[in-house]
Amino acid sequence: MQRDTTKRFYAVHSWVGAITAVLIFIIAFTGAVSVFGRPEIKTWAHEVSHVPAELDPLRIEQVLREDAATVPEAYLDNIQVLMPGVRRRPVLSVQFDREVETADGRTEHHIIRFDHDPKTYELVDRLEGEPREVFENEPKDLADFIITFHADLHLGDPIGLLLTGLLGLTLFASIVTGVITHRKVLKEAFTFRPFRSLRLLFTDSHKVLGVWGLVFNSAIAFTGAFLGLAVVLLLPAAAYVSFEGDLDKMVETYLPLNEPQKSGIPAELKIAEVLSAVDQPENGPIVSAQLLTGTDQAGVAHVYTLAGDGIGGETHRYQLNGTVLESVTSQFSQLGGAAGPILDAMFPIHFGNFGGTVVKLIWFVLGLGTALLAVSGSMIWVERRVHGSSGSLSVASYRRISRFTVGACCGVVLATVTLFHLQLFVLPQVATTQTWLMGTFFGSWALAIVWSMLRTNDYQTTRELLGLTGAAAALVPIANGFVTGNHLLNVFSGGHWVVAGVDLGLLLLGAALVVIALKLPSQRPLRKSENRQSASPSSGLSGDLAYPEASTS
Amino acid sequence: MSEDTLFPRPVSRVLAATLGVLITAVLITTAMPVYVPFSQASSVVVPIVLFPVTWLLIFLWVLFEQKMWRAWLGLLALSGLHLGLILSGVGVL
Amino acid sequence: MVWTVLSLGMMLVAAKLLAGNGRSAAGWALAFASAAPLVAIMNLAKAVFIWLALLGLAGFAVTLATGLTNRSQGQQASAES
Repeated sequence: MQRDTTKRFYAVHSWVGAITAVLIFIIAFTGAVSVFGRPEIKTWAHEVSHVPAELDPLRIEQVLREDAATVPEAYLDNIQVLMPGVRRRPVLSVQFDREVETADGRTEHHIIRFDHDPKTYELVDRLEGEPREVFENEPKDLADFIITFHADLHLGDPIGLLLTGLLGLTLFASIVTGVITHRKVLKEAFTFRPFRSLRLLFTDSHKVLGVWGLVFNSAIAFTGAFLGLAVVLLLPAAAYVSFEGDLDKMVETYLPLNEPQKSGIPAELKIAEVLSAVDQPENGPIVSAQLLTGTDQAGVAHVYTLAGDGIGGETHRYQLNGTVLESVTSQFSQLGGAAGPILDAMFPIHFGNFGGTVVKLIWFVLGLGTALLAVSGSMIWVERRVHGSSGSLSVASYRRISRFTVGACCGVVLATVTLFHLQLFVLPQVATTQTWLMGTFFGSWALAIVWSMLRTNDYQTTRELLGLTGAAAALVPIANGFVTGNHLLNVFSGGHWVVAGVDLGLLLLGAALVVIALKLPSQRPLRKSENRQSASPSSGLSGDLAYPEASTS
Repeated sequence: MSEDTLFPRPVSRVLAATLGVLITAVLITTAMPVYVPFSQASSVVVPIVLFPVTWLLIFLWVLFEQKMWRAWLGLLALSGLHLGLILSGVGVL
Repeated sequence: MVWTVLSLGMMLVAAKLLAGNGRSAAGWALAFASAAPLVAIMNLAKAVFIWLALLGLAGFAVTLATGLTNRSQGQQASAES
């Protein structure tokens, strides 16, 4: 009975993994890259932010007052100042928000946004419209593209988010069934025999990545499922029960903005003292500041910072009159009970943005591990069917699946690297950035898949695609140096540390991929014992089930 | 032992394990605020956060249940019960 | 950053000791002690998350390095022309 149960868990693990492997690889890989999406890759992508700007509260206040003087009074009750080079903005943005009641009683927002050069504070752009419209129309860069692709595969809301959320669930199921199936896996945690046989290379890799990535992968699967499904499915469902389907009303009830009551006494717009008060070593970097009824004596400021000593970002609420600190709260602490700390932890744990560059590096490496876990499992599944006794399809069919897997997985890595070149040479010169990003990414990915499907030797194809990707990645720093003048050799004089970090990362990864491509075999190595195993008349699953125990002999 | 013996009625089982489990898990999560003993916000948030666990437990149960009629009956019973709680919470029932 | 790197260093040594002997008292002690630099500079929840991630990273790194450098674990697979 116990053997049957283990067989069932193994079959579930095997089939869930086989079906979702390529998608999990894609999402895990782009997720690993997205860890450095904001602000590192975004900073790299925009020459204006290569050298970080020092926070000058007085200049920011001056710019705020100049911009405010040009907008109607109705826009002055909700103002946001978004800092450059911290999260999403390469420039300094001042955004004025007006609420409008529609004929059917709903509330819509209309914004006017001023973008300023982060060093000279010169106005570089002015945008106006509904927030969603402004966001969709503004030029995109490779960081936006990769992050959005990771979040919803560019399939949008709700299909894309549902799909990535469901993949989080299936990854969770794979992890749990994998642990139950491989009960000896903790004893084998340090076992890695890459030179003994191809089969042991695949299975040991899968087990090592699975064991050591267990906590990380579980956290990512859990939080990823939440992030994908909560917004499009679970929160609207909850709102249906308690708030007649009005999600905005539910959010406003649980997370009220606490707008102050106007006193009627006018005040001059100010922000400098508040920014200076928050800009301290014990606080995380300032992301943005929001002024509510800032032209009234009763006005307040909410200053949002990244994680300092804690795990999540913080909101510092100040009375503008006298710059009096009212509270320092986390994003969801208003919820109270267990809900607040849980939600505060969900986003930072998934994004890895709670502990500076070192934690981001850890999340990046472990994220690549998640991607390799999926693809190593896929290799095991295919290997047992092409060269073993499992499976009901023809060997040719399994070989096609293998070729598709190689093309899709290696291709997405290649496509991501091509975006760096696109960002340097094309995007600053075109208005239709999203079209170029989509075309280049999906075009190069498709070419990789077609190339792989046309070839007959997976091993050679893998070498070719990895080698090409490695060379392309290693060339990015050189290209960056030619285009922008900022490169690794002049970082000490130039001060473009973030750019140098991204360049160095691409150089090292590129070199590593080239070395791996050169060391990989150009065809499948065989052992005589594998020929004998493939002839054994075992049923699919019992043959497979003997395999985990047999690997330790 | 073949996979068909381990998982009888595979088509019905896959349908139950995908659509059936997802719908049931969503209904359970949506109805939980009615009966979990937490504060107002926590009673909504905690079931949503625990959704992956809820889904996984039902998913594994459906896959491991030998008789498909029991699996479908269980899904329908859980869904029906929680849908009833939702509708009573909304005021329809 | 320095404290996180120190914690990682301690964890790598612990992993190396435990790879050689899973019951090594020194290994286990060092593994848990590696949390100390993190707890000293950040709140407990944050320290625990980072420590768990470092545990995975260190274990993987030591296992990978040991496997790649220890060819005596088995014969190299022979290629068939």
